[in-house]
Amino acid sequence: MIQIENLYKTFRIHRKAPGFVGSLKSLVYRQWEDRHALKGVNLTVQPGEILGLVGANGAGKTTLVKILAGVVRPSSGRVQVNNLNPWDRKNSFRRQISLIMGQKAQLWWDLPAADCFLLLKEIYQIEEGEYQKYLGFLSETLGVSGLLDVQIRRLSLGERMKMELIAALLHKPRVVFLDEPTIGLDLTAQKAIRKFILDYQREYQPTMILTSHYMEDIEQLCPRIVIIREGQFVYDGQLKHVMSKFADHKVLAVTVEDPQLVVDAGMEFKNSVYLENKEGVLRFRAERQAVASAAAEILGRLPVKDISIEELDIGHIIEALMRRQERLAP
Amino acid sequence: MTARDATLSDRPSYRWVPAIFSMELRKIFSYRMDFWLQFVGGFLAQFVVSYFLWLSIFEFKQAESVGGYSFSMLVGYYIFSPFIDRIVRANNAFVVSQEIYDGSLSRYLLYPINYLGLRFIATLAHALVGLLQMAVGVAIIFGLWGVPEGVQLTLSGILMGTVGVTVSVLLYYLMATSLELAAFWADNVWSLLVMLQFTTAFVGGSLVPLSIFPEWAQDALALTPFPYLIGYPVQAFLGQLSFQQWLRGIEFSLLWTLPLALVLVIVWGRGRSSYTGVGM
Repeated sequence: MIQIENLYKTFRIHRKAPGFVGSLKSLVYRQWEDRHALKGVNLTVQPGEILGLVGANGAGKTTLVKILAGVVRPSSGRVQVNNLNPWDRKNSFRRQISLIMGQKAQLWWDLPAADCFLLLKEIYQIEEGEYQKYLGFLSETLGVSGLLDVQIRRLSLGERMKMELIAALLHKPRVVFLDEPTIGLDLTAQKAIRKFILDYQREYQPTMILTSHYMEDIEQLCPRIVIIREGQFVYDGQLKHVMSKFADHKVLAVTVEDPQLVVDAGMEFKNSVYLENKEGVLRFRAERQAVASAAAEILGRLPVKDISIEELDIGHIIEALMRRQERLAP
Repeated sequence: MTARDATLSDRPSYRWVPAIFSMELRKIFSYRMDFWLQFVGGFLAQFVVSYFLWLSIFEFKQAESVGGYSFSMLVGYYIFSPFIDRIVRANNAFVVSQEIYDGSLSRYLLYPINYLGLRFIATLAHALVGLLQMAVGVAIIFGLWGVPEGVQLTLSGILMGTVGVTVSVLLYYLMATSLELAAFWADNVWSLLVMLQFTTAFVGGSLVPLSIFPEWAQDALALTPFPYLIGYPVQAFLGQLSFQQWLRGIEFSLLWTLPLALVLVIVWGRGRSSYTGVGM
């Protein structure tokens, strides 16, 4: 279980005026500024839960994850991960957590993955039999069994990330922090990583905190999300509630015989509003509760060949939510 | 204790020590060109320059010896000193500071191991390779040219030199790493390390034997850890130190490791608190 109470983190940033004069000035006088990365956040994550941490760049996601992993010291507040304070950095704590950073290689570039894993086996005191069995399972599942003897630096980004995942999970951590695990990957690799994380979570039930800029990661992996904005949580609740609470309408995509004719006729509908003609498909906006009647009206008045009802993009909803000042109830 | 209990206990495990040592060796051997360049190039550059410099000095001064060294003894000195210089200093150049700057220190903080211990073990691996390179290099040179006059290569000298250079590796590691940890606060620690490298080269006995210096300077330097870094091990290998002199040097070096280790641990503790884990 993860518990955070009134957590603050402030960094001291050195400000330097641009240009040569600014550089000279900074030799004798330095201007410092406090940057508040986290401003009194509270959070509880239940054992086995998977939580999505969403926010813009610089919102405080990675800082929070690093504090939870014991890498960065909090300025104030209480943090407990499985009843241990991460900053104490006890071996018992470090043996049950894992942090995967998509933007930073954690394996040794000069060595083949197999050598890196052997080292981790010794670091985490994994028994030989258990190690062989689990490494076999992970590498088979991720489809990289044939690449274990290739130097990390010679692997593709997707293959490297799979190796990073194996490295992070070899010691069967009870808490896993995933910081942008799919960043920079192509769609196929993203999909494979997502599927693996989902299957792994179902099988082994570790507590997971995932940060990502890709809404697909969040949508597919995280039933619960926290939206963080400028160091504060602006939403903490179920992902599905974000949709129903903040997406008050849906879009009807309608294919007709001659869309331009319909547009030129300037038809008006009682239950929906015409939005656009996008590549021959007419789009209408309808209130969530009036979708059925809007669809019936369109079907009755237009020569419809096809009709579909679309949810708004959750990314847009969350983006809109991130702009709101007030804290929103789940 | 079951396997699972072991993985969750607070008790430190040292199973990683041979693993890190072996990994570092594999890293060194994976760069074949760098390995041979350091072996041959590093030695030749320093030896050739020193050889011709001292040849000119001896011809100009028409002297039999300088600072107690005949020319052939100086040749012997400069056969050993480039190797020992490399062993003592090689792996302490910007590794720790770079890991702080690019945030790669974070991964080591996640593992249930001691980071400073890990870095020292890695340093020892480099030292072992350096020692083996020196053994091969010296054997080839002495085999081709013969042992320079005045050099007494004995088993006890080799043993004393090997122990001496190992203690030097520890001393230099403590000094260099303490300075590198300034990277937690300073934007660039390059100049600090260059100052240490220059000081070590100059008053540590790498550029010139310390007996060249006036006696008052030698006495003053003897109170610092620098003469024990390179000059002492070289003298031990050359058979110029009695057992008593060698033991005194080792004792003094080990005495220096205590305050240096204390400084390192304090700086590490403070630095860790201000670490942001942000990479460049």
